[in-house]
Amino acid sequence: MSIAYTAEQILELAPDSSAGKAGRDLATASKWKNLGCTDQAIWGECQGSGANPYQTRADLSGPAFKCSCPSRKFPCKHSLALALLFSANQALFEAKEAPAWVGDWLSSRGAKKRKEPSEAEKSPEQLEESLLAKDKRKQDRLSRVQAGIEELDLFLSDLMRQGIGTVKKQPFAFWKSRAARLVDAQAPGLARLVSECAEIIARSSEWEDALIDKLATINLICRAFLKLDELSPELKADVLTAIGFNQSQEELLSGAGQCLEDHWLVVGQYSYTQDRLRVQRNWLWGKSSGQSALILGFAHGTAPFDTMLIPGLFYKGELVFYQGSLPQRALIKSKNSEPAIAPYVTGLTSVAAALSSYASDLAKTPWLDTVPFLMQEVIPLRTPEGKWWLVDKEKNGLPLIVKDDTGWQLLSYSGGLALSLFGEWDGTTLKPLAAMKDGNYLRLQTVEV
Amino acid sequence: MATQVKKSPFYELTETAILGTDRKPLNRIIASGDLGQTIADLSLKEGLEQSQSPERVLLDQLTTLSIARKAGSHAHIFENTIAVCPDEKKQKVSERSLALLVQILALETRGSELRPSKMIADWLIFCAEANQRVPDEFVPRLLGLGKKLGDLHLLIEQCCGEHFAWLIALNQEWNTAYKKSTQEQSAEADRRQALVNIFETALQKERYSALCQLRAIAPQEALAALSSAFEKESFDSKILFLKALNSALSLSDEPFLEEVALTDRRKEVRTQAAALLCLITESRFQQRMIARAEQYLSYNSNNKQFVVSLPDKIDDSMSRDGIIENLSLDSRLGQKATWLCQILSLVPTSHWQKRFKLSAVEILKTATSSSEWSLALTLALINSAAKFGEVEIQKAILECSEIHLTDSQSGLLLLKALPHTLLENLILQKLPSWSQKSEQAPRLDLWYYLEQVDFNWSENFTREIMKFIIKECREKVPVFGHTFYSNASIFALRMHISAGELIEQIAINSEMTDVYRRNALERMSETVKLRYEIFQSFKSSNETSTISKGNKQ
Repeated sequence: MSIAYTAEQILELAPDSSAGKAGRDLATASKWKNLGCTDQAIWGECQGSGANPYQTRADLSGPAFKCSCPSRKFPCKHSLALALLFSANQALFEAKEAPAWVGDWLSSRGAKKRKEPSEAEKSPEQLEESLLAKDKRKQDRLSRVQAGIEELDLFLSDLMRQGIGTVKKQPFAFWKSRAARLVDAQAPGLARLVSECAEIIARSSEWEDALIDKLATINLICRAFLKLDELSPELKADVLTAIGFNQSQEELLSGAGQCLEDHWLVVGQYSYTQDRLRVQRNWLWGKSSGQSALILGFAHGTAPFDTMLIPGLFYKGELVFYQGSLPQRALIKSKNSEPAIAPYVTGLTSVAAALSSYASDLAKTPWLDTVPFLMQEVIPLRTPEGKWWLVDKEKNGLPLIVKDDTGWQLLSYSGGLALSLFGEWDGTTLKPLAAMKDGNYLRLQTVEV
Repeated sequence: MATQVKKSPFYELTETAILGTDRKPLNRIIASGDLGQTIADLSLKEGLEQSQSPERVLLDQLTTLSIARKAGSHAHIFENTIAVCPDEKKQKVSERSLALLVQILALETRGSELRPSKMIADWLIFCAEANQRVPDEFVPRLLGLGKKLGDLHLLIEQCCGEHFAWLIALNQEWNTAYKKSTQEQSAEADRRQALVNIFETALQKERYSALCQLRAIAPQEALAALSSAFEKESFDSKILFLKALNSALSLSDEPFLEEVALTDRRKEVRTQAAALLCLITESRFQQRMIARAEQYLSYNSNNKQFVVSLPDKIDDSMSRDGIIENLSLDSRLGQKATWLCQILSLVPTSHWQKRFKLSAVEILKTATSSSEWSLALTLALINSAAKFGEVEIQKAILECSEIHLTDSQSGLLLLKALPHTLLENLILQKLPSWSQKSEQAPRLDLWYYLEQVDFNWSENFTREIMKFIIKECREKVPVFGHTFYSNASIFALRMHISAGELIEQIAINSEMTDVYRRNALERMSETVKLRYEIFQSFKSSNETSTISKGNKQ
């Protein structure tokens, strides 16, 4: 079996700390029987509280898990324990033919991957009808968005007339109700930006400049939408995405999106909750292409994210990029784990080059929220005032937004020597997500802003 | 004439945006270059006022400037650089060992239980013994841990490698917290001075620790430090600090202790000082106490009985020496018996052995058979055995079948004071009688015995106790006692970990109807397994490194 994850990587997949702990406790040989493996999968039976043991199986190329236990957590403690046991002692797993309950699952996973898009199953008439209906739906939505944006424009003008100094006293609902109206107008992207204004104001200091930047972004998107027909297809796609139009994943995967094959390093990952929806941001970096890609995962409650990516690992596969002038968000078309490759990719070696690259990106997409920075040969340091910076060889620095604990962890990891650092740059601060040194990868805790 | 400061375009526009165009009309913004041209293009134009409101223009100009500002960000230039951490000499701990440390750090603390801190200490000891260190990125977490667990500073330092000194030099908070342990490593004289400084300036717990350390290396300096500050100390500090003098007691401590025993305002402080005085051989206090005891206790060799003759009331000299008239020692003792017990407890048994020419066993036997005074005499002998640590009388008490040490406070104090080997032998001797299938209470004694002490059990002893538990579980003996949960948890933390392999043999299954026992055994098993796994992880990584070194050679 070529694929072997470390215990740390497996525990990264745990839905919460208690599942991780329970998984660790179960990861002893005495609790398992009929352990087996093939080149693709591992499996075993674990005695639980029921009469029959739970049948647990894992496809480590994904990784993907399935267990017959009734747990709603995913991966469950048995799945984690099975993978941990394999990581600790592969000799416990006998190489043999997979039993039916494993083989069937692997086949069904394969069948799912091969499933053709449903559009292809339709007749030409049905297809035309569906295209017309889709077009009509889009036109209707554009009209509603237009109305929403005109209303938002009036709101912004009123704000400028009265002054943003007055909004500090406004309740949260002042922004939330405006965001709700944009949701009604089917412009969720703009609604999110308006909601973020409330969060900016809630900060105790230095909110004015940040609010102006946010209002500027909203204004720019609105103005661009009103001139949609004059824009290039890429920019048009950018504007619509910013407003909240989704690009069809089916269409993108069937050829509408730009496809790129590479060895992709999961260079950064973090999750946050937005209106009870858990969002996971996975940054991938192409080893040969040097291209970055953002894979978003969404899940409600304790449900698992649809894509399982382990930070610090390489995946060989194809990504399909969403349309836009600056390809960033992508979908995974195919992937296979390649844990054997040491996490190393090349990035920028100077702060000046990074800022210049950001300026070029901004020229293409002026409402750009954040861009990924992969900086090489940089040293983290802390000023006597307690601020954290990332400094390059030319002694140029970028400010870091980081918890003190993480800052010290990063500094200790560097030992005062140069390392590679990956993070998200928002135009003013860099949020570090990972550091790499001597072929090792260190995931960093992010700060909620 | 006031000079007018030229404001930046962004400042000008921000001011208008904050105040609002109603209060501050939008001025024409002048800026140079492409940006200036763009802003000028966005300005209000004559004839277009109807279609272009000032608010719209303001928004567009702000938008342009916001993007320009982001795109034109400049890097901050740093003149100073950071020192590089020296190369690490120690090997990094294995992934397995580190994962176990992470697991321990995530343990939940229930109440005041010892488990997390004891486990962390275990891990650090194994790591230090294996001459390994945590990975660089883990050092800050370990240093942060030391803020709470002051007694682990030295171990933490050993487990952090070269990063320790490098990082604490960069962090003021760590620098202050770890200064003490760094000072401890400095030259002996400096170290003594550092301890005196800590005693004079730190908080109570650190002061006590410093005083104990100073007492161990320089008893007289410790006494001087304490006596100079004693008068101003609080009541509880006085009690605590006097305990620090318990080690290395000598006649030179007598004047200070005499003064405290005679003059301090609080009875508890006087009693504490008196208890210390009586431990000083040939101290005036002990001589007074022996003289007093001889007055009240004699031996009739004809009927082999002790004869007790006590005064009707306590005189001033007795009060001054800390004898309390109405002391509640034991509910079975009367007032006079309590006086007798207090006096005789402060006399070493060896004195009676010489005086009456009796062995310790004979003295104990006589005491237990001395009718009305037997209880007072026996308790006094037990107290004396605990206080003076005389092995002969300790053994005699342990071998006496009539004495149940867990029945009295004095007995429990003796258990705590017994040397490790003696207590282990005692328990192992009693083990067969405890392992009988019976629902009688004596089995509870075992757990009391195990819980009373705070040292780590030897390997042989641990194995015997583990075998006992395994056997009891197999035979489904129901009685372990209602305090078994805490008893077993504490034993799991103090047992010798090389016997941890035996834990797998303890049969815990769902058939156990005794929930208390099952929960306790599960908790014990969890703790032992974790400790054993830590032990094994370092053992195996050491073996691996030894093999790889051997291969290189």
